[in-house]
Amino acid sequence: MDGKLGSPHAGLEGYDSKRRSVWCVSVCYCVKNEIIEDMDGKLGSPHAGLEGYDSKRRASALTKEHQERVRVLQNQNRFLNEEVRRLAKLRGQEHGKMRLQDSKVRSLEADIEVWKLEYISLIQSSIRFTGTDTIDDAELYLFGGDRHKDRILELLCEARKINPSLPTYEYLASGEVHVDCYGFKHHFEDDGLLLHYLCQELSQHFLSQANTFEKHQKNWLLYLKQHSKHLLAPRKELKALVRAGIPDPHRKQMWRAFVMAKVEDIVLEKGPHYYRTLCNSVPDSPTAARYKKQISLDLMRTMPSNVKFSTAGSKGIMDLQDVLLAFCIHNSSIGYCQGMNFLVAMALLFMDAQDAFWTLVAVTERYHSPAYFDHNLLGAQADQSVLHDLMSEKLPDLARHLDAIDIEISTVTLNWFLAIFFDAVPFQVSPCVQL
Amino acid sequence: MASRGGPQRPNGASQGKICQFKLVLLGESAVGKSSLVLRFVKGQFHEYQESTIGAAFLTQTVCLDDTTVKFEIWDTAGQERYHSLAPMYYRGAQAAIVVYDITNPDTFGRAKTWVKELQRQASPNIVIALAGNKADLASKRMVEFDEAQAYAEENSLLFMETSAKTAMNVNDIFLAIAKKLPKSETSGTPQPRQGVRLNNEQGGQQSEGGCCK
Repeated sequence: MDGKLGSPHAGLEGYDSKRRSVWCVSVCYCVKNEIIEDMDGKLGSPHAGLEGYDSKRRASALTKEHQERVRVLQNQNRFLNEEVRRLAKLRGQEHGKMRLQDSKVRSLEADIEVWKLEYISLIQSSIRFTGTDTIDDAELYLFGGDRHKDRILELLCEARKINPSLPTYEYLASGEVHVDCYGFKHHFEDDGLLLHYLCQELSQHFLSQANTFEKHQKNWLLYLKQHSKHLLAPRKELKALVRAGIPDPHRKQMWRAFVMAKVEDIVLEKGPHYYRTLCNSVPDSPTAARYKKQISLDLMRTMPSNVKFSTAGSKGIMDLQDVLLAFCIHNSSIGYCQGMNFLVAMALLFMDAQDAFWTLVAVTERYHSPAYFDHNLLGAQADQSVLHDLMSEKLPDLARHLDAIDIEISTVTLNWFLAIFFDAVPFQVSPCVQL
Repeated sequence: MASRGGPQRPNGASQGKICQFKLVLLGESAVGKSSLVLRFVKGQFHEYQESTIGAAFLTQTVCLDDTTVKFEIWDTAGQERYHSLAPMYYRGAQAAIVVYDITNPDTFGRAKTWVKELQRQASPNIVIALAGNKADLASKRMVEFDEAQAYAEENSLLFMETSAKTAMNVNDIFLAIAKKLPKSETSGTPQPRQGVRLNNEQGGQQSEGGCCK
């Protein structure tokens, strides 16, 4: 009986009716115990047998009465137990319903985020281009006066509650410089461009709030947990994940894994202190001396709008110089080629100098053919020929059109290949393209 | 007209000729080619202008009497190893600006070799201008004005000293080129304006699922 009564106790809190039943059950339990003790006392007393017939009859009547009470109590107990079970079942059902509702609300909320994103993208796309074809000269042209602007600012206000690192309109409008999460400085004189930038930031924010993004993050975490020993082994799964974008927190780890897989043999051959050794030999190296001038010219001209590379003598600039000079000694037949500065700077945004060095080695010697950056950029030019032929084959209409208006595709695409889209796409996109 | 259905001026000046010209900038690294273009196209100047990879393309329109001249500008990378790619950019160009840095005589020497190459290999009627940039750094001058001007005259080049930083002579040199370019009915780059639809037949080949979020 104890067991029966004890077990439902556990899940009973929360409902009044249940609490009442519990109370009833424990009262019955107490009364019953008292009676049993009472009877025990009477039966066990040494004088019991001596009291004679009368007392025996009284005792048997008492026993009967007690048995009757026990029966009643047992019935009550049974009833209450059933009640408890019924309520527990109801509670379970309610729980399930709540869970369903919760997930519905969550998915509706995610939907709202997606709509916000769509709305912002729509406004963002309402850009009027003036004469000069570049994004810097675009104007944001909004119908309905300030209505959309106000709406954007409202959305921004809401979004800032979740992500306070988003800039405020007032801050940017007063001519202040906003530094984004990658360290790039932004400031605007034109109100339209400012709004466009805010839309861009909001899009990023809403994207990060969307259901799919959350799922994507979870998939990455799961992947990294399951394959921590051999990050690159499950090629197919990894490919799908990478193509959907490496989340910034994992970028360093993943880039490093990709790079090291490409240059493993060189690292093994040269030893773990190779990069340091190269850096130390820079002052005496004639190869380094040959390229030092060009590299120095380019140091401050590499991502000048990024806080990491905007001050002469800063760690970013020194790392950039060290890596480029070390590479000249490492591969004197390639030396330094403009464009490498951007590759290294991009790597340095996410990794330390030594990893950035190996990244440059991997890109110039493994991902690209070794002749890619040589003195005539032979490999790069060969790639352009291949691209041209591929285009003729796969996109004959486009190829004919470009021929007809006398445009050589490589004038546009050479940079795409050389600096891996660095100056060809908005910055947020380029780390995604690169790996 | 050279460019039928070309861009209408916002002020509605659709009468008058519209000519398009391809112009290429050449010169040693860090002499200020990109800065000159940025000043001309956007009126801006950055102390540290990002170094150019391969080449950058920009356009700017200037009005000259009753003619609208649209420059299609190819701003090339200066490092020696990009030299072999230069013909790709100056091929078919009607104008070129060869830039040197007045504080650095090496860059003047390099400018001369660019002029030679253009005279030998570019379009025969190409208009070449020589720009001695960084004229604001007169105290560090290493290339004399007279020397450069004499060289320019010898080779029948337009010549100006410019400063992208102070905007000195920047618009002027482009205008001078615009004036010198022949603006006949057939001049400039013909521009059929109808685009090409990429996903007509190739629609099926588009791989689903882009690579970026």
